[in-house]
Amino acid sequence: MIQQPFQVLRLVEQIAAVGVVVSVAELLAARAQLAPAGLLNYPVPRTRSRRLVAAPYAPVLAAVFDYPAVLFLLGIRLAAAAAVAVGAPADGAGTALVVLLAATSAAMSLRSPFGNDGADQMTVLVFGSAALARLAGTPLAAQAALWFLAAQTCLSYLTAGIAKSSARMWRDGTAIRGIFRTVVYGHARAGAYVARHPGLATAAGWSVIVTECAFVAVFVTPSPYVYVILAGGLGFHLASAVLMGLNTFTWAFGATYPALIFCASLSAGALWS
Amino acid sequence: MTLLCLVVLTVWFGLSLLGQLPGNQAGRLRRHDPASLIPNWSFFAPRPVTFDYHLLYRDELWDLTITDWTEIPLVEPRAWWCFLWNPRRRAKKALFDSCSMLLRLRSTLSEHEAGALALHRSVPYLMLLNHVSGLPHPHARGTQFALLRTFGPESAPAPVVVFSSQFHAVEEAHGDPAAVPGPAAG
Repeated sequence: MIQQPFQVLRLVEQIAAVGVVVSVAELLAARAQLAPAGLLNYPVPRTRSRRLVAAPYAPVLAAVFDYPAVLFLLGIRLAAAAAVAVGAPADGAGTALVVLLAATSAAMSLRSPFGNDGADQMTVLVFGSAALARLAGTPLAAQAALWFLAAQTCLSYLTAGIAKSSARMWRDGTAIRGIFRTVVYGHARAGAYVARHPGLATAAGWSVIVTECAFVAVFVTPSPYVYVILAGGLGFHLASAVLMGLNTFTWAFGATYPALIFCASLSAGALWS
Repeated sequence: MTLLCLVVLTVWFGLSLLGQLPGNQAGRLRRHDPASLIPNWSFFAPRPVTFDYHLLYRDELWDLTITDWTEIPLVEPRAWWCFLWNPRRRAKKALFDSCSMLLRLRSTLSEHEAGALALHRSVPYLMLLNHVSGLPHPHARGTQFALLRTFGPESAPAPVVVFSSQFHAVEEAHGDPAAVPGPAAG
């Protein structure tokens, strides 16, 4: 049964909001890094743009982004995310929370590009598109937001898959062995295992390439089989969380899966009916 | 409002498509996007992270002796629960971003004075210097940082020093970095 677009969009918001709760709580736990001498400070990365230093609004941004004021911004973001995670209402208050999450997601990206990752980028897209749909307030706008997110997820996998397929080190397993032996993104036991079994590393490299490149087939795959593709994608994120510590990717990208199911059911339904 | 929503989402996705193109076009687009609204989806590709960067520093004391190198403990193995809760991940990524940007920038700059000056005023250099200078430096007049690249716990090939900075003046409690004469960078 195809659900109403706003119902699906609220589920997307809820899952992404759990990721924001985790992400902000992690930042607050590591708040010393937000201080002027930390690696997540504002005074140094603001110098990457003349506007962030010299524009008339630069002092306002500094007042919000400098430490410890940024803790207040994060506190607001955490509260909004927690409220959305338990289910933001469809009314104006719910819209305000989602707009707040969209604005603070973009604000944190503006504050510093250092330390951000693909999960942060997807979070900006989720709450940006959801905020637009809620402000428009029509099912068509909600449907457009769902298509936008489904397309972004497919674009992300396809871009990464094509780029990996062009690199020999991904095709011959060197990439998998290399990643797993690092401390930051590696996994000691998995690294030792694939080092002893190079064929497994090659198979893993190819499985990542195939999973990412083939994911776009969700739009043309009939209903029961589409879940095999989605399970492959979700399994990829869970493995990345366990083996590489990329914990927030699961929430940010997993949030778009209800949008994928919604859009795939429409497109494949039209194709196979 | 619905029409505006459709237009914005269509343009946003179009720009996202352009942002994935290899070469200068995507770079030009991103220069006008300080909040990273245009995603870059080529993570871990085509060349993934197959090494770690370690940030080290040493001080020049007021009696002109040079201390041993000390590593700032940012790169440490993850605990088992990091698939759910990983608060150190951003600092590690920030270190990696700074190191990657610094080395990429160095490869594009000349070795002449103007190139060195641009490098020392660059954001990634200042990020690393700012972090090192913010540490306590008892009895020090200057500090120098270096980047070590390692290739896993068994580390074959051997670790490589890929960058070392100038010596910079520090205050004993909190560094206020400014270049001072010191031993030549290694």
